[in-house]
Amino acid sequence: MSLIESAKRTVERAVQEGAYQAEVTVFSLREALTRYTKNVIHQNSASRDYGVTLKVVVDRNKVGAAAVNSLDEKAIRSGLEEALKIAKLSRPDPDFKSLPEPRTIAPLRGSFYRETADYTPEEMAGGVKTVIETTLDYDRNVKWSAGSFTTSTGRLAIANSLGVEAEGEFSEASIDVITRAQSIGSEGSGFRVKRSRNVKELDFRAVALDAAKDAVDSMDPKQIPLGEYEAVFRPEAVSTFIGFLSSLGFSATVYQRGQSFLRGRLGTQLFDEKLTILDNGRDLATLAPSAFDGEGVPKRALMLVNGGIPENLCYDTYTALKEGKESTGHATRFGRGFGMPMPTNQVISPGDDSMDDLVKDVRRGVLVTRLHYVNAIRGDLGIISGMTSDGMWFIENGEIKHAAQQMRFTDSVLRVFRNLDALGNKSTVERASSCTTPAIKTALFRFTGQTEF
Amino acid sequence: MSEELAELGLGVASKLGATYADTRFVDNERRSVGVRDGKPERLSHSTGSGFGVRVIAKGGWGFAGSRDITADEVKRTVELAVKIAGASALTAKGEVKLADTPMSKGSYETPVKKDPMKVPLEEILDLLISADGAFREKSSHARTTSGEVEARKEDKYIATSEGSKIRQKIVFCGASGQGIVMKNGMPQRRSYTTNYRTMGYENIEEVDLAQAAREAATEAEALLEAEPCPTEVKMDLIMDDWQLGLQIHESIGHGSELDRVLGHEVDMAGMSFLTLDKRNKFRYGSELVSFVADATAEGGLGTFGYDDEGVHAKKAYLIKEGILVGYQSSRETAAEIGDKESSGAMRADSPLHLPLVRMTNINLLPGDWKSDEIIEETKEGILMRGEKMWSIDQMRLNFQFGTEAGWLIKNGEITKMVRDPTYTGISYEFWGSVDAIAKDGWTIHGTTGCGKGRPGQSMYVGHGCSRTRFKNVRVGVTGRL
Repeated sequence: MSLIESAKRTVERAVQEGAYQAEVTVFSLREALTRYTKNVIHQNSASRDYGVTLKVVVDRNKVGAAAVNSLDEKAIRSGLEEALKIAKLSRPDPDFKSLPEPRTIAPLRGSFYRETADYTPEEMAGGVKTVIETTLDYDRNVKWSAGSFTTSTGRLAIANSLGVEAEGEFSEASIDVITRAQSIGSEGSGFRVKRSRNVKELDFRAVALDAAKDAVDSMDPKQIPLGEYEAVFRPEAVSTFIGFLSSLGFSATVYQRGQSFLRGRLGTQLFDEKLTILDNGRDLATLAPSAFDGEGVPKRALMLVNGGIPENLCYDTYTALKEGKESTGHATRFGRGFGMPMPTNQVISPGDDSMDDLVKDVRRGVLVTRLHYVNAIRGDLGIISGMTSDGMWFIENGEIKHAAQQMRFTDSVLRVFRNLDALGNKSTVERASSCTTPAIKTALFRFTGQTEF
Repeated sequence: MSEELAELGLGVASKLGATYADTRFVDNERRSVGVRDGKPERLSHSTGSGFGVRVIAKGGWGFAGSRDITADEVKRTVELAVKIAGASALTAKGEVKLADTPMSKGSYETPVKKDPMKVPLEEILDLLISADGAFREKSSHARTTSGEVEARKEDKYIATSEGSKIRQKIVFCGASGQGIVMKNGMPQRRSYTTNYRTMGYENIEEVDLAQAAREAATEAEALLEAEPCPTEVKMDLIMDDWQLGLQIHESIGHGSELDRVLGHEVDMAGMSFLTLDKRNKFRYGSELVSFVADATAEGGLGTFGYDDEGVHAKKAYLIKEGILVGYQSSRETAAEIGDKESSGAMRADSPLHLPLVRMTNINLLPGDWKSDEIIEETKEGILMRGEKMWSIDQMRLNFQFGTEAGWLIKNGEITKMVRDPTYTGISYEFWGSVDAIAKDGWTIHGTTGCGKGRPGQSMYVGHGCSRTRFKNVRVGVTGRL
């Protein structure tokens, strides 16, 4: 039986057994990982997973959910019984109005590549071997490389008792590389990642060379003083900021709870006018395009920030109906029935500057590769703290002067984009916040702590 | 049935040339009951079964997992694991070596008085709604309140090609809640919990959750009137709740994981400054500071009978009187550094995932101070409670934490509450500054969400500690502009 048939049949059964409404999500997932460190594969795995999430409503607004990691009819029935039992014993939720009504879902081609599904363990190990060999050949100071090569492919089907039916396939592959260069008393680290839905599009040599170059170029880092700097952030670092913009600001759930930094600021010039963010779940330029969201609501383009002005929030059906609105198609996938609506496919409009141009504009600042272990201190103010990671350089009068030791920053992500000086002209797909973004330059960034490497 | 399938899998692995194999069959059950603003939210129950097979063949590691527990799928999965091991061999530099471990044939079960899966849903909802209401009664500025009971069961059968056969059943549960209050656009948060422990529902019943909620609400209201934490000052820092557990987690726990030290996690969470040359030499803490990794501690979230390599639960020093003396390890990482045995720390969060070196209960041993005396003998300091923000660099050196609430201490007395407290430091300097640890109030705090590995795994671990004072800590790094 196909996944969608399984979902529909379970929905019918739920209604027969007394559910006022029901939603069933069925997924199958195959994942493979080849992980290596110090030039040797140390973790190499593959798995086949699948599962069913059942969300049922009784008495108009009493909701229960259950999940089983099995496609077996008996297990699904047992899960349904459990979900119904929970819903009946639950209490009314006055904010629950309805599951989504069916809407036309336009087909979307290009979210799945057979090449990724068919990739073999030998091919994955071969890709890693290419990375390792390319890395070691780059420079005598390059000592080792580490990273992960992953592939995942799957199918997702959603049906509900109001007539929603949605089914789609997806694929994703990624290779990330950390490379260390070492000589007496000196170490440098480079990082690069490439992601694509089609594993055949990953260029192992290119990613290895870029990481190796950064490793060598970041050797002998010098500590720089605490304080405020101009900063150029590569796309991987920018994606972390975008992730915090999403989670702290643009989810309707966070907004409705009064915790969003956008409270009272929608429609105002909150960011520099050069910032434009469009969330478009159907955009094949993003990493995980889809025709529908986690409730089977069609994906569509939603302007989040237009010329620096935040315009829209992301809604799922629950949060939308609470305000008498329509879902924007941002229900979480695999949220087991209770996720929070979030931007999923953000595209940051690029600027005109090359990476060299961005650096040339810096009077006194830094070039940052990526950020590590970032967390929010005050979400309502957008204040976050974290570390820079894997390659940072000090810039003076438009020239990279030397590698810099990693630093701790504590700053507001709102300020980063309020002081946006320029955006790069080349975007890359970054997974950290499901966004496609160029590098950026910001006029002010606050470093508050030092470390020893 | 899992015993027969395990034997089948081990037999197939051997026939295909594997020099080592283990199989792990797991049944998981998870119950989550939540409330938000006085009404149910996130009521769910989930079950999952599956198995994973790990092999060494041709000098490389291979792992495969599946949800289909049938003989045919076991054969297919073992064949795939051996094939993957063959692919790993493409970069191998020598044989994989494993530290010896005695063959184990045994079982372990978390002592449980009241099965948390069988407690009526109405009873749990009543508990949570009552606590939620108690918070709101005490807080006129409550914006959103929430609470949750979570219970999990993990039933596991492990068999290895070396003859170990182990059955283990772990049960844990706990309840927690929080309220976000708001005044003049400023939100503040205060949380409460029963703690999460490997116990039955009696763990939750031991605590008056509604009273805990009332106390949290009172403090949340006070935070709305409190002054901001002083910025960029140095003072003594005192901690005594889960926040201290989190500090231990990030700086001691992750820092002493041997796989991190050896670079196995460098592409995800990073490495550790506790390099091998520092063992038995490096002063990580003051002489008062001793840590053990203890998988045998009663009720800890990191308490079990055997790890996923079949190594019996152990208790061993990581730091003794301030000196780094040991690491948390697996059989492979232990062998790599010449240790005779694994510390017994390998656990996976799913049958479809590889076991990794995970914390057990990383416990700061109690000192000889009385808790009250630590406050009374502090000239200028701050007591911080309630985890709010955490961050640490990839070598586990520079950290920064934010907490829900702080109380300034002057000449031995708590003078006033402050909001948005933060502190920062370098791990070994921070632990080196400890000058007082209480002998009373020692508790193993549990967290259910320790993230590590690829694909990301979430593990339950414990951290025992009592009130502790750190000297001359940098406090108040807010980034507010």
